[in-house]
Amino acid sequence: MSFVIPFLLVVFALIATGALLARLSRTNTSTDKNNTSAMIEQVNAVLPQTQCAQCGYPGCRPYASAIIEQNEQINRCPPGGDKTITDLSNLLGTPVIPLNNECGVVKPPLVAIIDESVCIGCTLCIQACPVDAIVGASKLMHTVIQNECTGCELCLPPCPVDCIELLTPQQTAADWQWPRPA
Amino acid sequence: MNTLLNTLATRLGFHNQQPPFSFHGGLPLNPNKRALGESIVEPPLPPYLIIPLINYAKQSLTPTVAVGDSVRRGQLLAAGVVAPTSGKIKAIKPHATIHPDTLAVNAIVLHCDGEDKRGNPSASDNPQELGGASDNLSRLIKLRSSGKQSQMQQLVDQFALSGLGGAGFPTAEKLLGNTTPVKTLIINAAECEPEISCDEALIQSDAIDIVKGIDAAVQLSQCDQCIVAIEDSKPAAIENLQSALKDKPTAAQLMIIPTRYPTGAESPLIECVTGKYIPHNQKPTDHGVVCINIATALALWHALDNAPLDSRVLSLGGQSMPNPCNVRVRFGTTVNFILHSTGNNSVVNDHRIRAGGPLSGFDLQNLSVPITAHTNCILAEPRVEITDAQACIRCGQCADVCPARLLPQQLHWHAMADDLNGCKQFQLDACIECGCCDLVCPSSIKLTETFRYAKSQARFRDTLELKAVAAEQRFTEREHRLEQRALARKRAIEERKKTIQSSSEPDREEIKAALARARAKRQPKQSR
Amino acid sequence: MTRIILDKQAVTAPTRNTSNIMLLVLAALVPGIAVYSYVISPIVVINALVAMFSAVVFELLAVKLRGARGWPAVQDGSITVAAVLLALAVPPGLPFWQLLVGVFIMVMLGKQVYGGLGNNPFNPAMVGYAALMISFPQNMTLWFAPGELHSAGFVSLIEAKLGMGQTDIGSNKVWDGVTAATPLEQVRVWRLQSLDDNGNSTALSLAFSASGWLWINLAFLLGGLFLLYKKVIQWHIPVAVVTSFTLLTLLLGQSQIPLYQLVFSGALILGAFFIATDPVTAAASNRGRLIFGSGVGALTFTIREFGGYPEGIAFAILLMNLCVPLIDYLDRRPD
Ligand code: SF4
Ligand code: SF4
Ligand code: SF4
Repeated sequence: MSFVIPFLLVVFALIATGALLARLSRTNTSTDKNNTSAMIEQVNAVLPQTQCAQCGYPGCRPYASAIIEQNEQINRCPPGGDKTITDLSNLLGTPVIPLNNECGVVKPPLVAIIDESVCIGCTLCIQACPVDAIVGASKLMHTVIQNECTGCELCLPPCPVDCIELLTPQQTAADWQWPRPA
Repeated sequence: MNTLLNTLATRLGFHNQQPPFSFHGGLPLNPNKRALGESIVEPPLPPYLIIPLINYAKQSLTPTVAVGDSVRRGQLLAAGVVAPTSGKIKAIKPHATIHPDTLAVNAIVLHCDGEDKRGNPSASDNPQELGGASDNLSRLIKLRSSGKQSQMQQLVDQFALSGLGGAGFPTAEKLLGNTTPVKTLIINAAECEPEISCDEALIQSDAIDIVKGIDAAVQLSQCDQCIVAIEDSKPAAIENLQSALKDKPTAAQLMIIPTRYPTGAESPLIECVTGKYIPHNQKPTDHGVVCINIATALALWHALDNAPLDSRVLSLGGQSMPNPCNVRVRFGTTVNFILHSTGNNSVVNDHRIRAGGPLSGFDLQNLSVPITAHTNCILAEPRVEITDAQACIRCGQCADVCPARLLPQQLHWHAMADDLNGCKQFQLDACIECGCCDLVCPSSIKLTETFRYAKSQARFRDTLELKAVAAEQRFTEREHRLEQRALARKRAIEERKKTIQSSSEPDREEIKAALARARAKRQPKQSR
Repeated sequence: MTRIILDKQAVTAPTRNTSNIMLLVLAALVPGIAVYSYVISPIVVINALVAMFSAVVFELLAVKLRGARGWPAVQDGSITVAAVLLALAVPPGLPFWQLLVGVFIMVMLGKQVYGGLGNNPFNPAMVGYAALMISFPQNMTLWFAPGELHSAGFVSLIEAKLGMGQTDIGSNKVWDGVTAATPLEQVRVWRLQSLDDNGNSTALSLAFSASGWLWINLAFLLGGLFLLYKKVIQWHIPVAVVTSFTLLTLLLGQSQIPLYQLVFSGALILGAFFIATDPVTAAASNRGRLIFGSGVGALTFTIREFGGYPEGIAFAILLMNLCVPLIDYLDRRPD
């Protein structure tokens, strides 16, 4: 009888510690690698969805498939920068590697704006935009839906009159963030 | 003996079991109401007003007027915004606002003509406009009960009623837009933050109209009970309210609650009055509770009386304010003008000027910023050094005083590590940014600032995530569309080829036949 | 120009800084120390001073090694409090060099390796205590009956503690009557010798009443109540420790010694009010504190009753420190 209580207490302490350790070590390792499409989904969720094709694939999801199916490197996404690389390495359990400079450089987020007085309404930019963020019609003025634009720059090259510019988005009250306390 | 037991119980952390209930945490702060004087000061109209085109949710508004237009006082300038006086619109351009970073937002610059003419110039088109307060009230109630939402909204829009408490939430929506029936309407007269006494001043001067406003709110919300909660540290205001309530029979009752920061905040107040703690992921309205500020109740009455909300009372206070007082100012008046016209301009150069209370406000960097509905005070404080933070000793005092029942020490750990998921697990969104934890922290850790930072980070991350999801959806849809289009084109080409081939078969036969006929015709010729 | 968001200076709030808290804790220890030195020997004051001084020196050293500014880290006073607690927890006759080893381990392994105040998972004083208990088990069970040290003379005691003179503490040569002198140690010795506890309980009980341990513990209790009154600590942990200890003793205790004597002997009161309540290493929420305290009480009982050590509170606290992250994780909101 007398040893029951200490025994129970020891068991309790062991379970407690065990549960804690289990909790601590259970970060992202529970993914099922056999399930390819689920993995592609997870990788895709980490990518920034700028759809800029700088990675050499037509968009984020194709790049995600390439990472999973063709073992493509995880350092090809300039818009994601270091954060995406770290997230991917955490997700896939591969080492963190520096961004591949051939793909591009890290830039602050931008949005495209069309100089409406110059636009000739050729619709080429509409065809280039991967996220349908440009509205307009043939021979009519075009404009960029600021909220939908991902700043991928794909509309710049096709414009015959170079009337598209990329600007840093205006700081709005809704997006403003408190500074980090010192 | 009883009181002794009670004190002992509260000291040990047990809570009151009958109204006013005690809420978790909070601090007894010295109210320090320097601004409270004999009466409310009315400074002259400034030469111009600046009206930021932004609503309580920080969305920008589209103006319904243009540069050069003449407007009258009360005329709608944008959804929920009215002209605070008559004059001419000089510009619509970004202007610095009251903001920790002096963010510029699009604003209307209105040059006052000094005549302060009321009414809509086109009022003649709309003769209904001119009803009295009680007519308007009964009209609203009728519209509400007959379910004519859009007409009701139209009427309410002209009130330009935004809450005069801290957040500026549209009041009409609170009173009229409920799906669940309102059980308890709480009129918040607990102005708990030190230095702020504008509501108290208002009660002392306008109790009768306030009670009319409360009655209107009761009728509009169709609540079962209405409780006016006021702190016991305001005897004069209590007396005024009591006598005004006696004169006008209404469903509202006065509840005197203990003075304890932050009772004036919504969730502690609800806990204090009803004894119900509303978890942060639920709305008070889900529990049949609606809470409005007492100054808002007065504004409701004035709005019903065809004077939409265009001014407020604010407290000028702080240790260094030479002439502390409560002033009534139009929205859009700049801080600079207010300080000058009340004889307080000596402080502008060598003191910190703050907007908002010591705990909820912040230092201003630019004084030509306009006040808005939720600017409740302006303080002048001496410049001070900030003490360095030490390490957290996990003393738990922050958790003891947190009215949102959080564990600030744990939250701080996650917030400083930028671990937003960790913050979420510890329910950072429930933090009401009251600053209690900061005040008691023996290690002078800037807890509240850290939480504000982490909260805005989380909010920003959420918008980015939403944007990414939207972009990905648009991308997939586009891919799909292009694929479909390519497929359709391919199919069309094949179709055409097929038709050409299949249709050429009979043609060939015909041609052959024709050829044969021709040859047959020709042969005799040749043979001829 | 410094921009201030939350203006603490403008608000008169009941606030206190970390050094104040530590000072209050030290003040609360004063009655206990006074009675201790009256009943057992004033040497405990010397012990406390030696521990405090060396702790500050080690702390400065460690902070310098970590590349931070030394004084601010020492000024919060937390290491001083820990040092005094350690000095109170060890037997008064422990040689100075062993005490210094304990202090060194307390500062370095108990606190600084984790990054200093606030980051240590284990109570530093108890880490030092545990290290001493394991390294010098003989000396760590070397308690004296009241009066014994007084009769030995202060100077010869100091000499013995310094390792000078002809005497040697460890081999019981200094004082004739050196036996295990705390009631708890007595119980343990009898247990080990499979003697019938019951037969000796009356004698022991008498010895206890004579021992003055009751008074020492009552003085610590007084200090603890002062901390409660000053709201430096919350009631949850001490109450939980004492309650769970009491309940388990009533249910499962085999000894015939009256309960109050068990509670007021050893370091249970000191541990419950001063050591387990160390906020850095205790659970954060009130509910968590209750769980933490009950665990400490239960483990103390277990070790005392079934374990090989006479006093279990040190290990009980360390074991429960281990569970704190789990308790905090499971209870993310207070109340
Ligand atoms: S480089 Fe562009 S398209 Fe490729 S994954 Fe990154 S954002 Fe998406
Ligand atoms: S009050 Fe300060 S020191 Fe105490 S637990 Fe909270 S953050 Fe840590
Ligand atoms: S600021 Fe937030 S965490 Fe701090 S006490 Fe107030 S509600 Fe709690």
